[in-house]
Amino acid sequence: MTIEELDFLAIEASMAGDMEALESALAAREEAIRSLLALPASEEVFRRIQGAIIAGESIKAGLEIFRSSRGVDVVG
Amino acid sequence: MTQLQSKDSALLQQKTLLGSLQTSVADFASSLSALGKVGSTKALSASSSDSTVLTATATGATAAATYTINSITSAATAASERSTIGYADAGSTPVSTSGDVTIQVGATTKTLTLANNSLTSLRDQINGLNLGVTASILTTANGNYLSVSANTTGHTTLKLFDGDDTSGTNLLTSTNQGTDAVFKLNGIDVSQPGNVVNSVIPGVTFTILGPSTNPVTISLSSDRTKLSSALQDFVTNYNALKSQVNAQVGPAAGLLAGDTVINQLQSLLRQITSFHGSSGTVQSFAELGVEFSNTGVASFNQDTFNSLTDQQISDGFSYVASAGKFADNLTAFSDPISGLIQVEQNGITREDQSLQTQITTLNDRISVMQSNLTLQLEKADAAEAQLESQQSALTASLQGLSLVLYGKNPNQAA
Repeated sequence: MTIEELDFLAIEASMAGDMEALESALAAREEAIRSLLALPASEEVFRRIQGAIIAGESIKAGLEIFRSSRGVDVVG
Repeated sequence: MTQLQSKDSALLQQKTLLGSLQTSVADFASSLSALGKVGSTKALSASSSDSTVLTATATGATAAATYTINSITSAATAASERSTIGYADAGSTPVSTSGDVTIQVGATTKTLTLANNSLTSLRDQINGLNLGVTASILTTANGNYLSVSANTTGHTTLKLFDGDDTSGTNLLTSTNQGTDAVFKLNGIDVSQPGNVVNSVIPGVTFTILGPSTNPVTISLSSDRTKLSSALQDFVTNYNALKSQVNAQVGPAAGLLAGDTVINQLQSLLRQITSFHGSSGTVQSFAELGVEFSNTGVASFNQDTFNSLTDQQISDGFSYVASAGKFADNLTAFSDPISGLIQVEQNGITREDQSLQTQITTLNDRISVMQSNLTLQLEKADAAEAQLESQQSALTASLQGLSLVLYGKNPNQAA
């Protein structure tokens, strides 16, 4: 899968709080990033890397939401 | 969960309150029953005109009376004899010419073949017969003597013959074959083996302590202090119960408010306190000095009681004998097996068990959920760390690519 497809899956998993799905999406993303960074320098690669970084921030935001909602449950 | 725990806590408090109530009802039932018994037996007490020779106790007599023991010829004593001679060595000096002895206790005779022809063996074998006598050895400067005593009082035959029948020499003295209690009651001769006499005068047991040539009188008379004391106990236990019932009634009622047991007890207590006798000069508790305030608190007026005539006391006995029958109604509440309070407690126990099961199930479920969530959060931590690493790699590559493609960092202004 492309980095963009995997970004989509990872964002969806983090927003849904599905850690198992996120775990496997991030593992696959690791490989996709390696492939992306191995491509010759080009504007398209540049844009795709930018897109992956922005997607990474969205995944993080999803994780924060999950952690704040579930963390309260665990303490309570 | 909190709701379940609160409900269970309230149930257990109800159970505790019911337990305390059960005790108070039982105590009140007991005092009411005792009061009824005082009434039915007219608190008869027996007394002896000479307690050095005879004591008497009322054991259910129902009428005042006087009995005369014209004379006491003898008090009952137990037979007790010793060997006519002393034996030099208790363990080896022969006691029988043939090795056999025959003991007679009353109408019973038993022949013993001595395992060892000695006093010790004889003592042990007599005691092994269980004939109602006890043998022992008395050691003196003149030798060892066998002592044989009957275990109970009364005239009997106590002999020990040398040989295997009763024709031989009696090895024991014949000085104390025991005596029966012999006396004359209201002119009638009476003889019996024991000193405790409980089958001659109905409801009276008397004990003969010694002989007397002078007449001794046994009097059965009502003891009004027993009635007064029983009324006091009634008041004390009534107040203890009433205060518990009151605590469950009204605006500040406790957890048993509205409970059937409380309502029924209230009604029963009203019936008891307002019980009206059908005849005689005393027909209410108030006439015996038991007063009930507006709030239901009872008190005992000793002055009122003391001013009662003998006739009123006699009628008072009849009144409380009838009132005492309410004790059964109270026991229907307090019976520890089938009482209404116990039945209600059993219901609470069942409900408590059900709630405890629910709480345990819920706790187990929460525990599983907590474990799952902890695992999920650990995975979130790992995902975030992996993501940070990916972001760092992407950012570094972006910076390098920017320099290659555009000759500047992506964050630099154009």
